[in-house]
Amino acid sequence: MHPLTDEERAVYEWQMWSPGFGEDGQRRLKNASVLVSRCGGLGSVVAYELAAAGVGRLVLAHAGVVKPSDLNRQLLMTHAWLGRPRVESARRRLLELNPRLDIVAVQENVSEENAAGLVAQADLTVDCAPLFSERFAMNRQSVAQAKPIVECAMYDLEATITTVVPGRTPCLACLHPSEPPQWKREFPVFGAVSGTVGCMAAMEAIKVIAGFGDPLLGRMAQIDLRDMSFRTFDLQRDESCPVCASA
Amino acid sequence: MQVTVRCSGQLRAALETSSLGLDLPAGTTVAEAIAAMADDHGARIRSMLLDDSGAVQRTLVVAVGSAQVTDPTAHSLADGDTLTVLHPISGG
Repeated sequence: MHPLTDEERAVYEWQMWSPGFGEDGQRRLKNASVLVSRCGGLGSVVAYELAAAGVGRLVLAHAGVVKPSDLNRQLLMTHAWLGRPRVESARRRLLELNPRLDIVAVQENVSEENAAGLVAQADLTVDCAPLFSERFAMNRQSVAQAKPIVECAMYDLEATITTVVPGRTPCLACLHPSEPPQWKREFPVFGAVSGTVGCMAAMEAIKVIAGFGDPLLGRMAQIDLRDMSFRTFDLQRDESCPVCASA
Repeated sequence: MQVTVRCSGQLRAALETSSLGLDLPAGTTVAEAIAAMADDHGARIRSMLLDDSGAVQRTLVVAVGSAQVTDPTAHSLADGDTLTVLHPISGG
């Protein structure tokens, strides 16, 4: 494991004061890689917080170019970058924050075809995809490769988060065995909502990588910013789950 | 008995409320409570709650109190329970 440099100790000093994290936790982050699937409203903030916290390598998967309708929430996209690749805008913004960061920028969304290769490049995935087909592809590969995946999602002023550790917790297919028929890619969203959830998902990833705190293993947090309620539900594995039952 | 149902996501948006009360016979199961809720509303809500066979949609995460219920036909509700129906969301 690569040690911290003096510069890194100076940058991360205040978070290393956190009980249970310390310099060992910081070293783990430095030596870790995280796949962030789509850098939209949620993924932008996940990537930004992981970059700020000192994760060593980010694999960013996001197709398309920056559009005006991205700019209310996708905080790694800028007005000056309209019409140009989103993932390049994300790379530039992240390196401004953390020039030590190693970034693999992939101008593709996750699919059945590329999921195995993308998941293989990281120790952990944070799933911020707006389509269940992408989420299911990442879930299958995370289970197959025995890698944790933070599942975070939002709709309007609501959000859910759970962390999947294959073999220990329910996976996404345990919770939703098939594609929900009503879900559509376009949904109401404030940047303040996706940003809130993005910060929480980033913290889940940091806890799992550094091995401290109490991640949402086998639990789902449901957040409703309309009335500021936070609830946690205990989840169960589906013993007949076609994805993880044998994991 | 009185049961409170909390709804989320697109289901909440379609119902135009996050919470509603149901007056149900003692011993009603989670599946029966959700079917009763479907009966109180139109076809759109029904399709969000139940599949074509009338069973609770497998894509829903259903909980009583803070515990997920994986077999809604086997779990009986008690007076004062809160039944949460989490409609699947995937916004990023």
